[in-house]
Amino acid sequence: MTEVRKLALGVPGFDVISNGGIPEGRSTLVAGRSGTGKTLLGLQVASHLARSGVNTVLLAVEEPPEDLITCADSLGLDMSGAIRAGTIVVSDVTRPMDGPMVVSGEYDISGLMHRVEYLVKQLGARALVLDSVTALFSPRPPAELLRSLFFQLVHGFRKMGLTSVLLAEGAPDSASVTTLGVEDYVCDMVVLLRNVFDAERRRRSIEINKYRRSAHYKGEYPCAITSRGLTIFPLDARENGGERAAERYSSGLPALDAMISGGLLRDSIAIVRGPTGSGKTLLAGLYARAGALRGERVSYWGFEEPRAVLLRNFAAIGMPMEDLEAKGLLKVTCSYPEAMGFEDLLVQLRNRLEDYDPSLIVLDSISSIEHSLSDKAFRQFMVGLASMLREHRRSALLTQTIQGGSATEHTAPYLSTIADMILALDYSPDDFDLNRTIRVLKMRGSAHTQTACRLRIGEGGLNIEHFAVKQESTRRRSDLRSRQLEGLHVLVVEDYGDAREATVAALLRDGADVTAVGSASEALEAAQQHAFDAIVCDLGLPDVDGYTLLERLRGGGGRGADTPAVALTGWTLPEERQRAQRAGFAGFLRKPVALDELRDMVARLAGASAAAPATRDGGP
Amino acid sequence: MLPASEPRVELVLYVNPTSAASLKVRTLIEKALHDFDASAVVFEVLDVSREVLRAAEDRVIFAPTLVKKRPEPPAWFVGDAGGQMVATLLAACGVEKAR
Repeated sequence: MTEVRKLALGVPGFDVISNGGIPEGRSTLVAGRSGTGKTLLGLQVASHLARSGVNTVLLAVEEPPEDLITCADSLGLDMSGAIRAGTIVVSDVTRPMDGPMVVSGEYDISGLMHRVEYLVKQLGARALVLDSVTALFSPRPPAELLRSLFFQLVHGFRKMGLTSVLLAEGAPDSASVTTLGVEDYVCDMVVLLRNVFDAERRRRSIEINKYRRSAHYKGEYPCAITSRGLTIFPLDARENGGERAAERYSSGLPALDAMISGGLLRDSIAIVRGPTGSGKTLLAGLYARAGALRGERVSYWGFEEPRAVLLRNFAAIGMPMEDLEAKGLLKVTCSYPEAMGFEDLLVQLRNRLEDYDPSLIVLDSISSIEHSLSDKAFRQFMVGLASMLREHRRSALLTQTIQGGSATEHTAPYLSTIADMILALDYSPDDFDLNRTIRVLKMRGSAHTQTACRLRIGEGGLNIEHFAVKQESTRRRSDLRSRQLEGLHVLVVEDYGDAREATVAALLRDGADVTAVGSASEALEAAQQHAFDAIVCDLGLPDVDGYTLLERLRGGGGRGADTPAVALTGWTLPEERQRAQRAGFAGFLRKPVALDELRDMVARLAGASAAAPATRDGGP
Repeated sequence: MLPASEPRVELVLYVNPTSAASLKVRTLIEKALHDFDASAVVFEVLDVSREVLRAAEDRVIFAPTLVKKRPEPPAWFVGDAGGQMVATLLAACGVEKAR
């Protein structure tokens, strides 16, 4: 079999799935329903070929040339420039609108073919884009004549040595490729564009349906229409050539680096997996910050919190990011994946890779994307993402939230395949404490610690301790202090779900009964119904702030008027602490709090209060 | 109204000389024209392979195509439509029958 000579199209991803482009000197059919991006693809092809030194004739049948030129220019393809430079000619083949046209009997397309021949000679053209065959043969001639006309068209182009791309309206059903139903038999390559409704979203895809004498990627591949035209995502982990040195870099956590023999490997993808509150976002923040502090460019994508909240939380734990952003070393982008299709997200990521050129990418978390997509679409997203990262040779850290079960348990096999390293963060409860743990589940190409280590949240982010060493002393303290809050009923007021769950879990473990609410109004209601021994209250609440809540409790004269309260907050300015004292908070703890510190504070306040029963039960 | 001295109707037939369909339509039109006042009609036959620019100007891509250029609005008759309709067309344009 002779090798097919190909022309690369320069449409992102297309040359990958077609193994190099379209067949040179032959016809390629691009079929799709209205709105699938056929015309955009045609314009991209014409512009790219012209830029590559292949002068191109564009036959405008469906839309006037000026509309196509405007559209191409708006995509940054500079078709006007190419026309001025004499590398593209756009010929008006639109149907005359200033008078009637009557069609009957037999005819041929010699008028068009002689025009093309003339233009090809004038321009020295080697390629042609026809938009569209469907409009050219409208009204549809009888089947036999249509076949004959299309045969004349394709063979005429071939005789002229043209590489042609013919656009056609796709058929509404799968019985045929196009509405005309004849084009695919004659063309050497057939490309199908689709725009289907899947899981309440429009999903675009491209498929090479046929490619004579050439291998090509089979099946559908996601694509998106962007401000730069059509972009295709080949779903394979395509390697960018070249040897890879086993260069390592720090995760931002020296103890973690020690667990993995000196740091993460360059150009690798790490997945940090764990339940809510296990420290995934903090680890992601540490990773991003460490990279930026080394002078690398880091792109951080947050999908779970608004940007202001994320940056505030990082700053509160001693990981300020603003300076790094101001220096151009870090770009933090927060968005909600529900607001866009996954193809659009991939496009944004690719644009960021090309425009900002980060060496490290963080996605926190891929679970937010997963929840907004069908299983198939999420798999396509992940494979497309991995492919893009490998193609650009970038390192990435992705977080994944585990709903129930354990972070060490098996999840979707393709995720495990994509990741070069998997870190499992988890809770490891004992009688006394809510121990967070970290374990390296997998690391390709590197030795790593097999056992779990303890992970602590504190100033500066996270700290790791070797579990085995600490276990004994922990257990001893546990024996002394276990069930220290037994018999106490604590009200937790916290709007942020993860923080609320973590606080509640810690208090429950220490033996307290806990009522948890997410707003001040719910807290006031709860305080009317129960006599609490202590209140643990966030200051930033959605309806009124924690100061106001406590003032209302104190001023209400009912239950809760004298319940000792501790502020647990990310607001750490001295004036905020003073204001909390004035509002009536007896304790002030900064987030993230060490759990034993919280327990000790609650125990101390509730104990002190218990010494004065008249006030502890609330109200005179 | 066109002045009496000028032809009322201007027709251009674009043909592919190697196609039977083109030859057939040309014959039909020429036969029909015999029945009408020749001074009222300008009829031109052009080969699409030689008159590429005029064909493009007249927005012709198929052969045969009969283009009625005058009186306005223009009209295009593709295939055998030109042969079938030319008599009706001339009559509608007020061209008198030949005596």
